Amino acid sequence: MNDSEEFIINKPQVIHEVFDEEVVVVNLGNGNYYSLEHAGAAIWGLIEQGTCVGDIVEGLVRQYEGDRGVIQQAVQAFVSELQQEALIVPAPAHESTRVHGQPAPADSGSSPDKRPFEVPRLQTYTDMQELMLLDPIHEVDETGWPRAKPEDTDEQR
Amino acid sequence: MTMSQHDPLNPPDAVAFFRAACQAFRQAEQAAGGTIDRVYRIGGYPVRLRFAGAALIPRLVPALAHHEALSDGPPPALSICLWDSASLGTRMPPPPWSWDDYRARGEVRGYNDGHISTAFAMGSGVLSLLDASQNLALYWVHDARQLPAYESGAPLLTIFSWWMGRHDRQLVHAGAVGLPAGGVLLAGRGGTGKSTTALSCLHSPLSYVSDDYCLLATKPGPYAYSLYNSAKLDAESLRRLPHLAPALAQADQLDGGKTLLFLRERYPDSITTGFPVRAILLSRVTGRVETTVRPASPTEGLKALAPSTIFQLSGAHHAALQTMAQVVKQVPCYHLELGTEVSRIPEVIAGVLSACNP
Repeated sequence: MNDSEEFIINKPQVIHEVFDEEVVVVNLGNGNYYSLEHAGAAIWGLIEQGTCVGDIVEGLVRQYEGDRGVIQQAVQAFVSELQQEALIVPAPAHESTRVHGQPAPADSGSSPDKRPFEVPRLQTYTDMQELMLLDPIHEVDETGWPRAKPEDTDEQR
Repeated sequence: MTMSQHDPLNPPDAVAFFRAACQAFRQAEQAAGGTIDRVYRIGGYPVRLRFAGAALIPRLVPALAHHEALSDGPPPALSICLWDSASLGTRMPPPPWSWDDYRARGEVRGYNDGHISTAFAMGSGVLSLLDASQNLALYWVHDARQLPAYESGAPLLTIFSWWMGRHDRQLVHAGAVGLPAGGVLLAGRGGTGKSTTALSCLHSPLSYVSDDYCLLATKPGPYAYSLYNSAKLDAESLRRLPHLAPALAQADQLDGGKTLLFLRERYPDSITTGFPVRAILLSRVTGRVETTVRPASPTEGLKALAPSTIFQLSGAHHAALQTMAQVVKQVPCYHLELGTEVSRIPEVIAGVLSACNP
């Protein structure tokens, strides 16, 4: 992954809410929802601000205490995972708003009380996927409308 | 009934189909010799149901009966036209979309932009349409006799989700019980004990707003409005709630072993139209005897409340998530770990409320 690569949140399919140390993300496309904590929430916030991968690493180096190489590897892996889950997509060229190499907007100075860096984890919840499944194909009546079969009618909720 | 002029936000097909469906309702109205109107006050809004023919009335009205309002009250904020084709011998124009356009939650691709919303529920055969610019909705089924019983328990869910969400009333998948000064939301996916908990309160000082769906407002503070007076119970819940036995004789049976109750008929004094929300309880069946509570984080609250709402209800998108997030940030969340001694659940909830209510 190139340091200059920039991503955007995959709206409107992906919606999210930010809490103090956690972001809850919902993917309307696949029925999954996610929890991102600590460094994962920080990465998400930086992506939302239009920060390229290299500057996300810089932002986390300033925010967390840890080996730069470890942080870089973790950021790249996490961003890749977010992309695989279709939570983020590459930013179109015209949406790139920042000059690469500038300090990440979320944290332009070094944090005085750095916390130990922990490799971020994408907590994935799949228990709602069944609600995304389409009902089985029914027969079409003479008027062109799908007709429920009697055995399918009750208690599908 | 008039159809708004085409505007650039709405694809012509959606507008044209809504117009064609309106024409079909007018034909049904003529065939029925007029409409039978019922007025309800739901979430604080007057809502008028205009039935062409009587076939759908006994199937849709009982769950809303506790909201019935005077027909000479304020003009309706939302009008819903309802009919079936079989009882009136009328015809609905065929769907202009293809099989590929049916999406999760019944939404029809290409017909949910701008102020027109369209959904067809495969399971129930219900077509729902809303023109938000006219506050006008249409509800059609081919044959009212084939409407599944679960639709009687939660009628018009899609239309309410669409319209109420645009009017500061987010439809949420949650139960609600409480006191006039304030109550709790019961959050959790199906099978986590929401219905058992809500119904356990019928013989307690706590009033019933919902076991499954309610309307959530955030201004000026979190408030839960009743939507339906129905309740669904499985066999295990029925065994644990023996005080409901007298009500079961008149209950409808759902497939899958569930029973549908209309509480207004037997427990009119136990149901209420709403209360301020003071806490959110994330229910879970434990198998232990005693019911206990322990604190939960706001994000745990959101994860219990939001996904089952968003993935289940058409029209619940970003604004819905924001509304629910706002509420979990405003009121405390608790894990409600349900014990087998169901009769003690209300006093546990009352204990939470005594700590939260002003």
